[in-house]
Amino acid sequence: MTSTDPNLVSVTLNGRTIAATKGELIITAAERHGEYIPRFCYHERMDPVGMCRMCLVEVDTGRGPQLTPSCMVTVAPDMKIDTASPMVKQVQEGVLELLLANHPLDCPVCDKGGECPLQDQAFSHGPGESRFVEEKRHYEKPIAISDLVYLDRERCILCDRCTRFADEVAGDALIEFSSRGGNTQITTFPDEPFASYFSGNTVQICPVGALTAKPYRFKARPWDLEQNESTCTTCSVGCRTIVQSSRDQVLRYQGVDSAPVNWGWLCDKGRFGFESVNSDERLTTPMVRTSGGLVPTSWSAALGAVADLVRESIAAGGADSIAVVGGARGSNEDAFAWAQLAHDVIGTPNVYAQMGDGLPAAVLGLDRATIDDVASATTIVLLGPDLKEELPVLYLRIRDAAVKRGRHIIEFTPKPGGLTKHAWKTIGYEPGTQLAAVEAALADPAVAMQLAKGPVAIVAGRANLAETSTATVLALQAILAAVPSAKVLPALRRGNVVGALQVGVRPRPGGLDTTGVLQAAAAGRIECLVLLGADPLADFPDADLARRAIAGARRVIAVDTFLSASSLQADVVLAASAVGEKGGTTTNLEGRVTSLGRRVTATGTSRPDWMIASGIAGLLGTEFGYRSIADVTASIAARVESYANVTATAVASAPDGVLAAVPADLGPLVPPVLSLPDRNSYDFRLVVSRRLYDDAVSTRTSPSLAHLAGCMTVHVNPLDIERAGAHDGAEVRLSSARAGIIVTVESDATVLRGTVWVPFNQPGSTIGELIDCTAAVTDVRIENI
Amino acid sequence: MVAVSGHVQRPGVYEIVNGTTTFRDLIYGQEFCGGIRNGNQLKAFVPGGGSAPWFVPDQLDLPFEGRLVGAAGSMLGSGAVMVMDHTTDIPAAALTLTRFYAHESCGKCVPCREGGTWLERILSRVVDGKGTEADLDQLLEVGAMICPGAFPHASSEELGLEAVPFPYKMTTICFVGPSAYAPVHSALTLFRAEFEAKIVKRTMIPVTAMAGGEQ
Repeated sequence: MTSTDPNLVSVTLNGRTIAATKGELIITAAERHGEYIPRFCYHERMDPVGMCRMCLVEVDTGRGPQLTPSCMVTVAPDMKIDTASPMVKQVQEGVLELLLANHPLDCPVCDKGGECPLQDQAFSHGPGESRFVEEKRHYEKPIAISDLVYLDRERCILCDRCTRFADEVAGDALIEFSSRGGNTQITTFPDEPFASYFSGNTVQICPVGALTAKPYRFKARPWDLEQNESTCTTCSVGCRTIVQSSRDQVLRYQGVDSAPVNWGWLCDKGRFGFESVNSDERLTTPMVRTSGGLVPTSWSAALGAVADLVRESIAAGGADSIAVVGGARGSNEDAFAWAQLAHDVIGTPNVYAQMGDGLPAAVLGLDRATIDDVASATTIVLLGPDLKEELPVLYLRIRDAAVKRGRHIIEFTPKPGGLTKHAWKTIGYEPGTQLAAVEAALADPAVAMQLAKGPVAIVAGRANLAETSTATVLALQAILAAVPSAKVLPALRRGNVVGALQVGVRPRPGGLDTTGVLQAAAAGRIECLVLLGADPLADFPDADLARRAIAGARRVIAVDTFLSASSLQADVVLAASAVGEKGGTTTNLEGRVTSLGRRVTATGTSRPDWMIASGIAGLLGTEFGYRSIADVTASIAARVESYANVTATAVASAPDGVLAAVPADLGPLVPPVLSLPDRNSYDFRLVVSRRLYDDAVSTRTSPSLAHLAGCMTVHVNPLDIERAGAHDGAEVRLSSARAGIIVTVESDATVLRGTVWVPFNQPGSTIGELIDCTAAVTDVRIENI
Repeated sequence: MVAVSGHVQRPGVYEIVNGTTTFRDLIYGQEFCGGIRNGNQLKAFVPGGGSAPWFVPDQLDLPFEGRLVGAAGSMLGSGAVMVMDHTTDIPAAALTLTRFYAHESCGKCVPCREGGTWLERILSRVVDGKGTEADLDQLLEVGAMICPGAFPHASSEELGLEAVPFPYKMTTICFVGPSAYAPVHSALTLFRAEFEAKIVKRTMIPVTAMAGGEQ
């Protein structure tokens, strides 16, 4: 080879010279050059261990051919690699015969049969038959190692993939090898299940049928599955998935390795949340309110009723008296069509996709970081929620950056979370004092030196639902002032919130955001409130305001997949199609636009939101002219400046999606004014944040996930419990200026002194009663009862 | 220092001169082990720990010297010499060593974990008198999955065997796997007759009628 590229290494592969990359493993170099080396333990996203011995090849570095595990050794100049010699063939057959010796060979009843690397490689590289006549190993099986995952130790080939994943990738080292020799097995620790948010990944990467997931066990054979590539919209990370169905029912999500996004991983909520699509509780028809309550009706009647309500509202209070909240749960097309309907057809400026738990939309106009930008930044500043709870796969990527790539995390948080133990510096703050915390940190020479070392990325979001976004915005601006080159990744949570905001589901000048809309509704100034996949009664932090708003709005129209607490109050409920039932595109928090796969027929007569908007617009006298979702995608590209490059063709031909431009029309991030109240007799500052599993309708209606939500307790630092005269497990009254609730105390040393932490929206939660969404912070006191 | 165990007059730890002292000196020398117990005959000995291929009296005059021992088909290994006299049940002795290494396997890599256990199970069946002729070949086949290619063994004038020198190829990460195979291989290569003696000679029952199906 004549190349002088210092990054290329010339090696001989099966007699031909190839250019491998410096530092590349033999197994990857060979695969890139067309020689697939069989493997079980090797996984490209985890450190190699060389345990299964399936990838042994002969490598000659001048001492004659040596059997070498190709997953453990990197290419070196003039290496001669033979992946197909008689010796290699003999070894491969031997290893496979040994792997199958104690394997039960129950392929006909095994969920993995048909997509099993052991089965496939036994065919391609195995000896054809076994000479093992002894009795095979027997274990009790299957055993549940968590609520979601079952383990069959007889099928297990002990490749270390699941255990490595748990330890190395997820950071939940809850499964391990035990015993040794022929008795080696995978076990959990006594009384400690494999309760990881990422446990489903072990099922996907298991090279045999040893690990199976409860929601998929015995549901289908791989050859019966039909599949589409899609994007998970459970949160805004936008993990690429494969949606698989059989007999028109979604049965499984598998992660797809998208290099800039999820690396093949999914969180369990994203992986198993599809169950809600198949739920019996799904809305199958539109409904209208009669004297006898909500009754099913036809689409023409329902849409007619909506058009009437809209016309009545305009007549009664003008277009401004109509408001649309939500839209962050659908596709870009859904959001765009509804923005068009609201802004252009109805003429209201009051449209907003966030639910009072995000940051001002102007954050999306900042220099946007991609996930790769964050993971490769020298310093990662976290100023937002616990990513493990809210954006789990982003947590995996940042954890990897910190643990394996030595990136420095500076974390500002009101409560330590998943990334705290990997952070270079964790700066705890009391809600409201973010700016002071940031300023103090910036004054620290060590921090200043770290920030000057290289690229800085900021992950900004809302860490606390019991305060406004004011203090966080001020802190973000202070960091940006100190490091103007820093890029920002908005940690907004809902699936397509970034897409919805960017394609237009945001107020026009003079319009109200969701808090403003709900306040206006509570004050009787909203004639018609449209809930676009939004459930303020469960999802808006200020429960009292949400309740008064729903009651105060004269007419309520809900577009929903379920009858939620809020849509139950509506005058018309329009049945919407869910993810998996509709195509289109979605935008993740980076601005990356990817496709959604339409896999199954929509439930009942439900329709995608864009079609509903289009129908209503038609009845109001404006034809959008959309005949298919592709027309809407094209319309977005034509009419939304930052989506000009996001054509259906571009999205379809880019497996990792297309990055939309940073929108230029969101206006500047205006420094808000912060006015902190005095403490008075309220001793503790309240922190409320989300957990991965909560009482959200999509979780509640997924049978496998529903019971994983916890319950509402108030977490108090042990020293503060003493001060408050309470004890761990005691029921206390937790009161804010707004209201008081009875709640159980849980001692939690991670909670900062002077604050208390309560998870949001757990089953039976009443914490929203204490929150006043207009107050800069919420102070509470603990009283014994 | 070498540690001698087994059927000698005086087992123990002895200081030898590397490259000069021979195995004959060690086993028969009065300053060392003082010969085989009860005046018995030497049958075989392990020159360097349980993982080393076995020697027979042909190799007695080899000195303790790594390269020479390697060329003769074994190794000095841990310096633990095990001496077996003519009363030794060779298959049972091989089983003891193989069982030890199968149990020692950490279970990490496949050939050792599965191969070691498999060897132990076949061998224990043979020792129990329940083996077949095919089992003896199977032992070598399983061994070849751990150590493909030629495996070292000692020469034997009696059997007309040439020595196969060290080293061997292995599919395992470490030497525990090959160690489970070394005693089986040496015993079978040098004392196959003893294994055959333990094999039940099965005879086929002549089939006189078809076992069903269409006529």
